[in-house]
Amino acid sequence: MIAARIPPGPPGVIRRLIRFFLRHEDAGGREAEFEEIFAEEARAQGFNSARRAYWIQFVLSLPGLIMNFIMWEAAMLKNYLTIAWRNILKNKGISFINVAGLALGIACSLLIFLWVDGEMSTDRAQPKGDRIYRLEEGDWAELQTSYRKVLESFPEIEKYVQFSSWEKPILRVGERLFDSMNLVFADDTIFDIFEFTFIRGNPEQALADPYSLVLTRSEARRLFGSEDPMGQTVTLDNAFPFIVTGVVEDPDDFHLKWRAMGSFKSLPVVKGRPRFLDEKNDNFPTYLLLRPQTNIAVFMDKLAAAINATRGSDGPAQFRLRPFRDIYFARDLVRDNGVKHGNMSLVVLFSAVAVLVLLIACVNFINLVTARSSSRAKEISIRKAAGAVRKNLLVQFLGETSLTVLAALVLALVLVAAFLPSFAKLTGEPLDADWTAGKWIVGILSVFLFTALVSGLGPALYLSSLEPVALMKGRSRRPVRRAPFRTVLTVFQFAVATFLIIGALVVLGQVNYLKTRGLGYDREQILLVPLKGELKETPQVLRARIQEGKTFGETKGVFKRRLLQNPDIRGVTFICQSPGELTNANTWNVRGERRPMIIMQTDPDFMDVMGLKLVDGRNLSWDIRSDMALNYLVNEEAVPFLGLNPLFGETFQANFGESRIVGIVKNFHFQSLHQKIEPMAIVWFDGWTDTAAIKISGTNIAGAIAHVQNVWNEVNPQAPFSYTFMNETIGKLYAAEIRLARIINIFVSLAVFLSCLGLFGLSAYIAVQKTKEIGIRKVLGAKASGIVFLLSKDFSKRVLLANLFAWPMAYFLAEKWLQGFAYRIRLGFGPFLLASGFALLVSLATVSFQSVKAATANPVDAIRHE
Amino acid sequence: MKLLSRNEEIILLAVWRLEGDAFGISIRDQVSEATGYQWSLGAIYVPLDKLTRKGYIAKSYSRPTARRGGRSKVLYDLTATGRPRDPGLPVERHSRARI
Repeated sequence: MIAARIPPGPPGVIRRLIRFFLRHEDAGGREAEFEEIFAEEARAQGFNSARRAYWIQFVLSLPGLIMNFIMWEAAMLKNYLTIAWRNILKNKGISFINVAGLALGIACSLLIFLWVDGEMSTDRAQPKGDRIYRLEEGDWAELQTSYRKVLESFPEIEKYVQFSSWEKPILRVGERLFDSMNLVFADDTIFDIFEFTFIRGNPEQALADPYSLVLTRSEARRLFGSEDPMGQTVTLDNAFPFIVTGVVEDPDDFHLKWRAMGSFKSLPVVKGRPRFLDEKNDNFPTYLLLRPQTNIAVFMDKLAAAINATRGSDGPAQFRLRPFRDIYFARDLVRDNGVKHGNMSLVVLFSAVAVLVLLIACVNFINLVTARSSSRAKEISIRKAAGAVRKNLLVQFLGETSLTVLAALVLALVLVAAFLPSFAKLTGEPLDADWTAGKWIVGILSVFLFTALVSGLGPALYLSSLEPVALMKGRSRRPVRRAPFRTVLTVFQFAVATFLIIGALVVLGQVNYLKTRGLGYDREQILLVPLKGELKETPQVLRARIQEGKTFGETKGVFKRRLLQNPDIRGVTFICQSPGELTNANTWNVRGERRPMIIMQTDPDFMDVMGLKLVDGRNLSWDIRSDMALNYLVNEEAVPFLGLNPLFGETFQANFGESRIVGIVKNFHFQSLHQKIEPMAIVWFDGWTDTAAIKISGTNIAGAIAHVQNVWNEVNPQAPFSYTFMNETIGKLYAAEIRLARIINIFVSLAVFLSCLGLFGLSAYIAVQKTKEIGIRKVLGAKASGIVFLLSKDFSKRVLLANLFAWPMAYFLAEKWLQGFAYRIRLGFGPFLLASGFALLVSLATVSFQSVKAATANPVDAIRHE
Repeated sequence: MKLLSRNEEIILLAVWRLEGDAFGISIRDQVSEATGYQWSLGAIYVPLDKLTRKGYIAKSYSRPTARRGGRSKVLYDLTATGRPRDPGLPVERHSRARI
């Protein structure tokens, strides 16, 4: 009943609004004046009228109130800025550590943001991307040309495109010869399905006719330099003149690495088989553009049934549609040539590392700011006594942090601009910071906000919580002596640093292991020369040769004989794939069972050139006619797999009919060390070989290469000569790991450096705090070593504690990473102890820099301190 | 001499005219009457603050009154520099008849 007697007041909402805008020392009085207007009106005209008057008064006052608000806020802001600036100047060293540390952390995370963004945006820009699917068969991403008829009969498919498998014809422009790089053939529908930016030519016409060719900008520059490529001729394999009908921007964010694209209609001519498109030719990646609202599951079943109906004796196969945008990160395919793949776990790993490095930088900031809290204590208490509430202080300190972070951000952007090219080289991606792009600005802003909040909120909460009375009573030692918060942060920092060091050591160890592990064959001083032109037995070459009355493999024979005339050439063998990445497979029929076998097609010299060891039986021989194509060598792994004792003359059905095994080869790594050694076989069939492996003497490498080139130019003048060393080719199998190792090394150095930077600042501050204590101890007879110990022991304890957290994390993740390798190092104590020792050493060195200075100072100065 | 805006002049004159009884409501009533249109409270606060900062007027606080919910009134008065007697000051150059 009491409530009824209180006269109704002015509307609450307006009252709160007025209160919000009245940022003024006289806010209370002014609020009362608004209420007086209400009260007077109420007395004269009643409450309704009063409420209206109050309202009107508020609305009319609004411009003035807002002006007032801005004026007072600006005044406070100016004060905050002044204080912040004075603080920066007062502690130049610590401010520098803060800004530089944050700048490094931010720069590092921005660079990684760029890389992650590049990875994530691959294939995202295609406007029809959500309707595009790749049709896959089993774990192969490539299909037969004969499926084209089926695809055409489906109304759900708006358009489809097939790409040819990757081939390496020789390109001739005028008189100059080039190796082809990523040349594909594709249907002209490709430009209806995918979007590429045409610089010259138009997408509708570009691939409409046979013998038309579209180049990317960089390929056009490679072939034609500064000339206009449009309408010019590029001759493939000295036989097929293609006309350049278009140039597109380099499709960097497209998962297929193509640089030149010929029209699909040219394929039957180039292959010399008019009915090529109807034949069962494998290895054609196929993309479908489906009509909107297609039910994928239903459509897939229908499509699979229709295709299987055409397969006849091959039997039904499993098909699936992979959404176009999932291709880049797909890891489950055995065969998708020419497709660039991302690694999702690497993206996650790097993002995590970026956040961790940034956190380390933030921790430095937090530690240094809170450690200095006692020097801000007087200011805080005066502000509090003058009426500042916690919110004001929070705003002030957050603002101060933002200022530092802003300075760091500017510095970081300079760093990013400076290091972007080298970072791009390191990652092997064409990175480019588009400074005006929306997401880049959003990225910068979010990094800024993250940093400012993480490093600002802690100190702001801490500082604003200090009690004014306690603070006014003198310098409170409390925040320095007992600071579990800072201990936790330092421990966290060193846990991260130690974790990263362990990671780096494990990666380095494994990479080193990959590089040096015995592969079971020689890889030094072996040249790999890709066979081209006359030496490559394409249908045209064979036809031409038959017309000239030559026989199969004759040029190769001449090439080999001429090579061996030089004593620096120790041996020559022709192989079908580099021994490090053998994937060719056949299916054998052993006692009625189908057995997939990996096959190396080569000649009897293979064993000698590669230095392989025979375990049992005999090598293939040039002199035994049936050794060609019919007799096989198998590796040890194949013996239990085939389930027969091969030397007893048991036969089986292979590619060329009834075959038998004549020898067993000691296991060797014919694939990368990610994979276990699988059953494989070696057969003499040099018709399908496309690389010459040439063993040269180690003493005259340059002479040997010159000889190979001379012979090549004699025998095969119409093709450009190129070679690689086999150990380089094998090294490339681990490019991802080597790159990972390099990048991780940089981050680790950064993390360790940043941690030490923070430790340096912290120890400097604590040494100053303890100046008096040190002076008195020295006067009382303490030795310098004792003082150093006194100052270092806390930090050492934290670093050691950090190991407790770092070790299990590092063990878990390193073990997980190593599981990706079939052949790997064992995870011992080595890297762990080394990393911890290193962290401890570096931190002690950092701290002792300060503590030695403090310990050797003249105690008289110290005691006079203050 | 600091420059005054037109609004500041009007408020300054109103404070002078009210002779020590100048507070928000009374100033508002005074200028509204003198200029012939309604001023809002918000509109007089900004010039008041600026005049205070320029040193022409000073604040004092009344005893808390029950009518204002126990809050004190903020009273404004001219400072020595703000007085029209002082030669060369802005107020003197305007005739009192305007107010």
